[in-house]
Amino acid sequence: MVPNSGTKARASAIKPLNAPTPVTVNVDERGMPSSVSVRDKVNEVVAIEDMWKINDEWWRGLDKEIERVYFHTRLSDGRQVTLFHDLAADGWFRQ
Amino acid sequence: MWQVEFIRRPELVNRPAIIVGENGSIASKGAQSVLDWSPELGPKMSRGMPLSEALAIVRKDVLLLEPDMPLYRHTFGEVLIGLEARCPDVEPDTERADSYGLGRAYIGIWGLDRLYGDDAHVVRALSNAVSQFDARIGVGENKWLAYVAASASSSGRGLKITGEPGRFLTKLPVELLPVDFKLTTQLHGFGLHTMGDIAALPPGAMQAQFGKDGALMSDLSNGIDQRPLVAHQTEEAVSEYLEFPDATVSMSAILPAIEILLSRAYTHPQLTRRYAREAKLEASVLRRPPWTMRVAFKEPAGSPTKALFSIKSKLHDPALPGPIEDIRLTLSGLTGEAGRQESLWAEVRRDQKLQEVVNQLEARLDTTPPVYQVRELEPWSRIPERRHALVRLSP
Repeated sequence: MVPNSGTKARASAIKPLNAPTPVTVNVDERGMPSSVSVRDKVNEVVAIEDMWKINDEWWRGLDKEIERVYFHTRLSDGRQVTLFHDLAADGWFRQ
Repeated sequence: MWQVEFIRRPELVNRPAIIVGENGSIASKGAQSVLDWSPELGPKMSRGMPLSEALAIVRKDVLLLEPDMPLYRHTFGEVLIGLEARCPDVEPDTERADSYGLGRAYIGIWGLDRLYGDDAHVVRALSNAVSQFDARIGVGENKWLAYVAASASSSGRGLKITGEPGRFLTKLPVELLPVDFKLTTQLHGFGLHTMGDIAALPPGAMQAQFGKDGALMSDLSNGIDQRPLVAHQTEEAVSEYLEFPDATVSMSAILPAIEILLSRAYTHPQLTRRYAREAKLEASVLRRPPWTMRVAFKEPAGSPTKALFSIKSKLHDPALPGPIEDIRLTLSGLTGEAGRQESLWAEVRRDQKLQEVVNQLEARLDTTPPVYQVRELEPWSRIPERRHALVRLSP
């Protein structure tokens, strides 16, 4: 039997990498992102280079289901940004 | 040491002076003690004696001098080169870790009689090699007897111990023994004032009382010394010196000076198409003890630019204790190879280096440094944030 070491679980020692950050996104009439607000600066989306959808962990119930639509976009300043629309929570994130 | 000081500062001649340094013994680390003294103070002084005790013995107008170890070592190095030109087996006294052995060298004179004639001629040849100093030369069957003979000889003359060494040693004070000052004080406490007193005791009793030092003292007092003479290996080095017009602490003046010294050093024939493994910088600091810094090159440096790059990375403002008056650069570890030694187990070395960096950061920040490494969690996951995570680094 291994005795209890008494040390606290160190959840803080693990940090998720590439965690989603909430962003403000304006959408067009088709629900596609048209502009993104990054660091208080609004950038137009000039092209959507790729788009895919993931639906995972649906078996854990509606509140824990992961349902995202990803957009690989190019902004007016030339940057490439990956955004997703969280369909379950109805929010926009940058990843 | 005092002789070097007197050559450098002739106004000190005939003035009683003590060169004071930090005591090297573990028991009294940091305490000031006597390193050397002028002949005016006579035999009352002994090396390693605490300064407070020395001042209690001597007159109050004694001059206290801070040691200039780089200069003493440099001068002693030149003396050794002069001796080696006359005699191949020269061993500087480095048995004691502190500076007490500086200025003392043992020379193997076996076979030299064929070159110079008898011992008297050998002594004269050696004396000529160090004519600028008040050299004392002793000839004996072993290192200890030679040292004792030299201590008893007069300036510029040689003394040879012949016959029964015990008779010569019997009246000599225990202060000559190569042990700590504290131990010699203890010997006086036991009523052992001369080597004859120690020689009269059985070696076992001395060893029982003083341990390893006791056995050594017993042997030496009987004239027995088994230590072999290990000839000094001359290290090939190139040295350059530069004096500043005014004392400076500014890196914008010091770095060009180092650059000049490096350019000069690399034009030496000894360094032609060769590499240096180590650089040593020595400087006289205004109103402070001299400053020394060693830089070991990770890869042997074959040009002034490469050497300067390594020196620059180590040299920064807080490293200097004050304004410097001059600077000496010595390049050593000269080699024809430019290769870099790689480890067979690169991973292990990388982890050790990482751990070292983390430890240094921890010491500097006084907390666990925020150093993480990327670890795979679920690389197959369709959810990007679940594929990898940052975890605390533990090499």
